[in-house]
Amino acid sequence: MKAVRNFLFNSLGLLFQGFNQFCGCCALIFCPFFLFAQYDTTKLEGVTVIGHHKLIDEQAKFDREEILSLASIDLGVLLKNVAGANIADYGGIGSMKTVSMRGMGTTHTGFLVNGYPRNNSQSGQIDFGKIQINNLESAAVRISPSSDISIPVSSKMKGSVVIIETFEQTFSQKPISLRSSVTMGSFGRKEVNSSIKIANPGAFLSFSGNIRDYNGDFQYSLPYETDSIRRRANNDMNEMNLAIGGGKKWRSRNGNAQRVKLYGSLDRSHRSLPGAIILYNGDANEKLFTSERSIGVDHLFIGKSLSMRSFATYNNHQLRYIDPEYFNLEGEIDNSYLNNSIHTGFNGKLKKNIFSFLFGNDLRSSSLNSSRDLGNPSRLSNFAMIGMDIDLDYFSTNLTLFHHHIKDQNIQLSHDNQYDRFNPQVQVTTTDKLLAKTRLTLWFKRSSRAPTFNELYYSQIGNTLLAPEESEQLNLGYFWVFDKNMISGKISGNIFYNRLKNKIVSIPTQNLFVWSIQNVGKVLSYGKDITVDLEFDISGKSSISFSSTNTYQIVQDQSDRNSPSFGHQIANTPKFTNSSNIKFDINDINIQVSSLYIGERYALNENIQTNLLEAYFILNTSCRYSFEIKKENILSVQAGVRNLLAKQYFHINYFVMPGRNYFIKLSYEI
Amino acid sequence: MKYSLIITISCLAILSCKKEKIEENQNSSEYNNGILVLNEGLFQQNNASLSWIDLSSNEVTNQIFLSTNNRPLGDTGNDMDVYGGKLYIVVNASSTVEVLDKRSLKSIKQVQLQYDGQGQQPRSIAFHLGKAYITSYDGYVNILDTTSLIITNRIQVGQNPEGLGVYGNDLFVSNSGGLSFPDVDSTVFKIDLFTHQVTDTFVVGNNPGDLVCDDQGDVYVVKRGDYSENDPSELIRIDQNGDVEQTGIHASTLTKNDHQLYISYYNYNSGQGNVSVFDLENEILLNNGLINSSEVETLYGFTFHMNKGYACDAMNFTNSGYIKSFDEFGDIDQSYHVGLNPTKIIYYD
Repeated sequence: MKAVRNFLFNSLGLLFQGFNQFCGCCALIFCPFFLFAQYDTTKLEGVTVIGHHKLIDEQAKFDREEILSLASIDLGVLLKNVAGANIADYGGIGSMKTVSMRGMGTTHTGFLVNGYPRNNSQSGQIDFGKIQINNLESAAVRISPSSDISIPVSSKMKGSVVIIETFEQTFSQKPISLRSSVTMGSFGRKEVNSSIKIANPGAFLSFSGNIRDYNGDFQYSLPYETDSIRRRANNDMNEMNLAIGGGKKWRSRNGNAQRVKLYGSLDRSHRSLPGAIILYNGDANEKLFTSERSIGVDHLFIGKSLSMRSFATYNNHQLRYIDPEYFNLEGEIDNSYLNNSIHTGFNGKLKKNIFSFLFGNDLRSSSLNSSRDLGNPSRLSNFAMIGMDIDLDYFSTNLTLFHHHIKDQNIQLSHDNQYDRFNPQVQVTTTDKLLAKTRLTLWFKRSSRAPTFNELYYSQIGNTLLAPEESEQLNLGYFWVFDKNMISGKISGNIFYNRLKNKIVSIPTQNLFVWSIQNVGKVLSYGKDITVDLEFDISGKSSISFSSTNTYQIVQDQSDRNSPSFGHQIANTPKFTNSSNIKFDINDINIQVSSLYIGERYALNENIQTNLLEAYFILNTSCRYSFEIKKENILSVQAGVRNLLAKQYFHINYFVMPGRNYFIKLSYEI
Repeated sequence: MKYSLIITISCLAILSCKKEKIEENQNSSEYNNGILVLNEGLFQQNNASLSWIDLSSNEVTNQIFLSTNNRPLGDTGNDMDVYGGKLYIVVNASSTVEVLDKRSLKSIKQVQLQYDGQGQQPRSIAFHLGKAYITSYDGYVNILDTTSLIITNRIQVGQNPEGLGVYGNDLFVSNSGGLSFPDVDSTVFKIDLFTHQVTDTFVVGNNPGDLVCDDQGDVYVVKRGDYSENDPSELIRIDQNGDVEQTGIHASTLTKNDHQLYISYYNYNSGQGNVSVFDLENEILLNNGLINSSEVETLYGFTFHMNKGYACDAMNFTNSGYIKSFDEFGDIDQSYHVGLNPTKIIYYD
């Protein structure tokens, strides 16, 4: 018992090392709350929901049951089921996975964990391969959530945002909730997850821990070498994360509802990086160590006409990269980076008749210290918005204006370090009164993303003259819900047209080992996607569900009219993708078969035969049996096979993907 | 008639869907009267390749290493030269030297440059008395016996050796130190080929690269500097007495042809290229604008043969490149579409 107590105290000590910064952050964030707290409010005027919990701007949403059934290895793999999402997968289990929505690029996708923005000012992109899914309550991708006060302003300004909610940050009706699981599988896969939550209807306290360990080795063969079997080595990963959460909600006598949540988390990981396969040479021997600490506080106020959310979060992210075989003076590369960020903001909605006035502001301070000579850059970013929802009989309209301000500092390099940009967003949606069970939405959105610290300052390749990337998105969406006899379902789709200018690309200069970052790219993307969800109720305890997402997108390089690649599909972006799932729920047994088809891509922007990457089709299956060992004590056994057809393929050129692999998972829930 | 039409349309539809295949080797026996081009490719893409330009028909055949040997060349082809009846291709990231029959381009041997389980990253090759000398980024020059095709020895040199040349019984090696940028090396070593000992060291300026020895014992080396206007790329001469002289000539790559040195220079800041001709016998600059370089987007190498200049155009480095030939007046007369990042050219009689 004493050991457990010490462990808890040590964990809390680690989590709250940034306490001083955090206190300052809290003081700043709650100013707006006290200013507006006198409003008499009773209920949340939140977001528009239609059909089966489908938000109008939601590209996809997976609830816990769907996440369990799909049995993805990590969040990056789960997001392959989202229409319009192109997941750059650098090698399967434990590998880096980034998301580009509709060809916008990975840095245009934001990431929200329980409503707190996660960002990385150094690289600008999120590695979704690092996000484990054992304790997820839901995962969603949204594109234009302007009216939703739970989404921070900075995330609304992104081209799209991936949102996850975890077990340890949700209220519960049960006095005690327990979730634990053990997973074992191919590649020496071992995962242990355990979460406990103590709750009453007005409060909760939770603790969660997760360990993932893979040796990652697998066999593969290459084209032109069909008779030789190689082994992918230096692919291991070890990761641990702990999280603690708590929350309280109450209703005052005047009817106002309020909610406060706190959280803290600690993540540590060690990953080996095998890199791309270099023909006739061995695997790379690089290593990556990361450590991340986060704390946050979140307050929600719901009154009769005013709703408001405030939050503050502090994030400390350390990264160490080692290449022990580099031919420089030291005979190795050993670089470390420390990112610190404080992010605070508020978001409100004031309802008056058919009008809802929207307002919000985020303030983020980020800094980077590195063993490399990068000049300790820091950035102050402010994201502001004002807007209005107008709810008419037949249409609801949203008009929002965003303002993005950035100020950069670097102790070594002076440059034009301020940037201001106004970005409008307009959305018109039909109401149920006009079209029952059908919704049409038309929206336009302009957004921008600042150059990252790496793009600005990385030695040899950084360019302090970079301007932010600018994007424009136009979307026509439709949504139809139906429920007839034994069949219910929904069909949604979008037609989109996007433009991206000032795209930041790296190009080789001096020689092929020395690249430089330039604002030279332009991208035009247009296409359509369709998602179909059907459910057949066979009997009270048996059903068959089918879902399918299809995306066709042209994402063209429009940078230089004289370039051979002008008008060509940009690198690593398939024109056509499909993911389909069929699920049989028969009493306590759940059987899932899912497939993923990724069409032809090109390794480089020039669409010629030598750059062609073949299309691939992957089939996965799993079976889960759940039963109660006593009341509300559920034991589940799940087993599955991924890449059932043992397809040998690359998603990114020469980052080989694993063949057929297996897993078995034992779960216990209260 | 109706059925014929349907069949015709169906055939056309099927044919139109047929994928482009990798070009077949048009002349599987011997390669003559043409130009062989080494396309460097792009790091981590394993797409180094060979292209053949048939000068009698002006036709280009790409991917001839692949079609002849049924396997890719590897990752980042950096140098290529002929010695005896063999063609040697230095493939940097793959850490191999591909030895081919010069005429058929069939593989004789793939020499793997691994030491202690680690790829040595070879860069350049030069020949002398039956030996091939290969600089490698691990700080050594490997000695390859051109008969047995076995590495017989290796000589320790400076940081990340790049260019090399032989005069008499001396080997000259430029030590770039490029992988420690900006703390680069600045030396050229003189090595006795009998004892394999460094006998002299010349400080030539930061980040030395291409190196050529002339017939009088002068050594010309490109000092690449820091790629900025503060320390620009320049041709440096080490004369027979060992004195180091700046020539004031901007340079990126060097090609020797008889008594003339062809110097290509590409300014990455301005995007302008230039080709100069230097008389090695009289040590004077003959021409400071040999070709109309506005015809070349990114000058990545140059060679001269039979009154024609051949420029390697790397375009934007991520799109396939061109070899552009220029007449004696410096005007473009042909453009050949080759592979990604053409870097070396060998003329075949």
